[in-house]
Amino acid sequence: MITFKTDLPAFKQEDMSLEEYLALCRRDPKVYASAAERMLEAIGEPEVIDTAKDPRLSRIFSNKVIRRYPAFAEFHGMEEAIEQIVAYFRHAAQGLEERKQILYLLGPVGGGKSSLAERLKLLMERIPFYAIKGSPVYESPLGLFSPEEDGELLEKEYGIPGRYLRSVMSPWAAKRLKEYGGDISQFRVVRLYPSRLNQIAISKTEPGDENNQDISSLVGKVDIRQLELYSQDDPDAYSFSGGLCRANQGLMEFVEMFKAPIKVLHPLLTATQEGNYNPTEGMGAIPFDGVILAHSNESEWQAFRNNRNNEAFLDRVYIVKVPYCLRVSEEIKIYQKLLEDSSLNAAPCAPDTLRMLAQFSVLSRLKVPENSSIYSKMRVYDGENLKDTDPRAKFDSRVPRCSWGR
Amino acid sequence: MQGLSTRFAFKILSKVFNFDSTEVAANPVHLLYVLEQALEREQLPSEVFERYLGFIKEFLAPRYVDFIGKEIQTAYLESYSEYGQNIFDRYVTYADFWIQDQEYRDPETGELLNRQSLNEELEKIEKPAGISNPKDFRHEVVNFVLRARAQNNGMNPSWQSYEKLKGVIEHKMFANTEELLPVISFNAKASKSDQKKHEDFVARMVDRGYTEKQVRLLSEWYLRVRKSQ
Repeated sequence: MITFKTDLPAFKQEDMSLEEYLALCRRDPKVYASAAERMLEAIGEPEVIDTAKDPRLSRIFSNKVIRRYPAFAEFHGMEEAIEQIVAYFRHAAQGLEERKQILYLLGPVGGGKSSLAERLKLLMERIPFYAIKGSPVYESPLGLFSPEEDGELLEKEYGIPGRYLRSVMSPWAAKRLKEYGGDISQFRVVRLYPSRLNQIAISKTEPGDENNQDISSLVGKVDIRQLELYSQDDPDAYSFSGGLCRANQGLMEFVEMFKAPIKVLHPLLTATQEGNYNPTEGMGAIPFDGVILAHSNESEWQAFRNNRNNEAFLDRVYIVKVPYCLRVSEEIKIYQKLLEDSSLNAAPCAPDTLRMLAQFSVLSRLKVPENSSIYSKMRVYDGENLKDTDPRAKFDSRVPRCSWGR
Repeated sequence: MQGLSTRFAFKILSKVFNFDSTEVAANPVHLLYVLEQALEREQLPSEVFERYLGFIKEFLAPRYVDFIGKEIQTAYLESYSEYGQNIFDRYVTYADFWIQDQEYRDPETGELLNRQSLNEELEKIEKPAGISNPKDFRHEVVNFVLRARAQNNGMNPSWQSYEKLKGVIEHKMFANTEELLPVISFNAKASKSDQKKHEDFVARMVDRGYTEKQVRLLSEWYLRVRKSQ
């Protein structure tokens, strides 16, 4: 029996006063956790594997201890990329430079970038966060406090470290505060689950037409129907519909980022570095405290990188390379996964079929070695020991097999 | 990064599974064909095309001939595993004596083998498999077996537990199996016993994960390729 009435926690909004919220903060620091911290919690603890104990893994990973994350279990042969992504979130969660950087997945077509992005968004949805009730940009209630005046008190009374008070008040909140006569206790706080469907703290931006795409797809724009009621620079006449507005305290995915015109990207610079960006109208800055996830192919990246005008950007990008899989046995698992999810899961598949296809794919991705055959190279990369059949086959076996451009 | 994407491979898979008009199933012979067709259709630069085609002709197809040959022969030999264990035990004993530089007296025949003849016996097994460094190989095998024995109450491990030696033994076993042709071919059988053997062979292949149609297709393909070689 299917129940048609949803009572998922995502649809229940818990609503509380600012006082109650601060009390909650004192009890549980997770209440004011940043997007990166929540992501790290959703990813969970890795399974630690000592590769020295398995002869094949030991040849591939040269006896290093590797971590496997159950949250990314079906991403076969991508240990290195996943390790780097997790490192990004870990450093960002610790409040280091990474929290000001754009997470950028770079790799060839069909290498799994989009699947990784989808998985990260899914993980983001797992942990709830707290925002001012009614705020169009889901701003953190802590943004209402000023670090200079209230910082010391919050740290002493509620144990909230100063670095969480970085964000500014949005123009919307500033206007409400004026209406409340400066009494911040009139703000209510809600607990929300990020949602891809409702664009709560998760958004996706795609590059549009060179001629008509402007920064409004990131920062929002004035809602012209409201102009008969409000003046043009009034926050209530502004539609906070841009990707950055929706993804505050969450994750914004920018598909094929470097296909977008450069002027569109500028708000990203201040959004990441200073934690706020300017709207199109003459209002105050809007806060942003989330993760920006971008991805694109190598050709666009090359073109972008070679342009000296883009230096400011290059310095603010944390690159994670997502190459093709170069290990035959992992490639087979990728195919098995595809078949399992299709109606072919019961169709007979003669032994060696998938292996042959995987070998072909891997061979096409390898560079021809000088001292041995490409076939031996493929087998060595898969962790086989060729000492007896092809003793000349020596490759740099210390490099993890999925490294770049091999 | 160069090379074919996972999506390309996925498309190939869909084609292979739907290649046969009567059953939805995949096998490597269809895969080889579909791959070649797809590469022609991809409009790749000619040197890349040649290189990819080279992978099929140079590595995948010949290797598969070996593989399916072994599959067929294994299914053909009923007493495959006892025979294998025998060769394995003998190889390990000889190699052990050879390494220790001792003479070996065969307990059953009483024949005395010196280092020279031990070496010859060992080479008989190694040669067909193309072991290029016998000394290391012997050490490695004996090492493995001694360790396995220690954990296994002094019993030798199964001959299939050591992948590399397993391959070597299979080579030795299948060095001359011309007599299997009448059994695996799908022509009308001359005698009842041949017919029975053939049916058993097909049943064993199906157990190994092939459909009956595939057994027929692959056996015929194997015989054809063997003949042309």
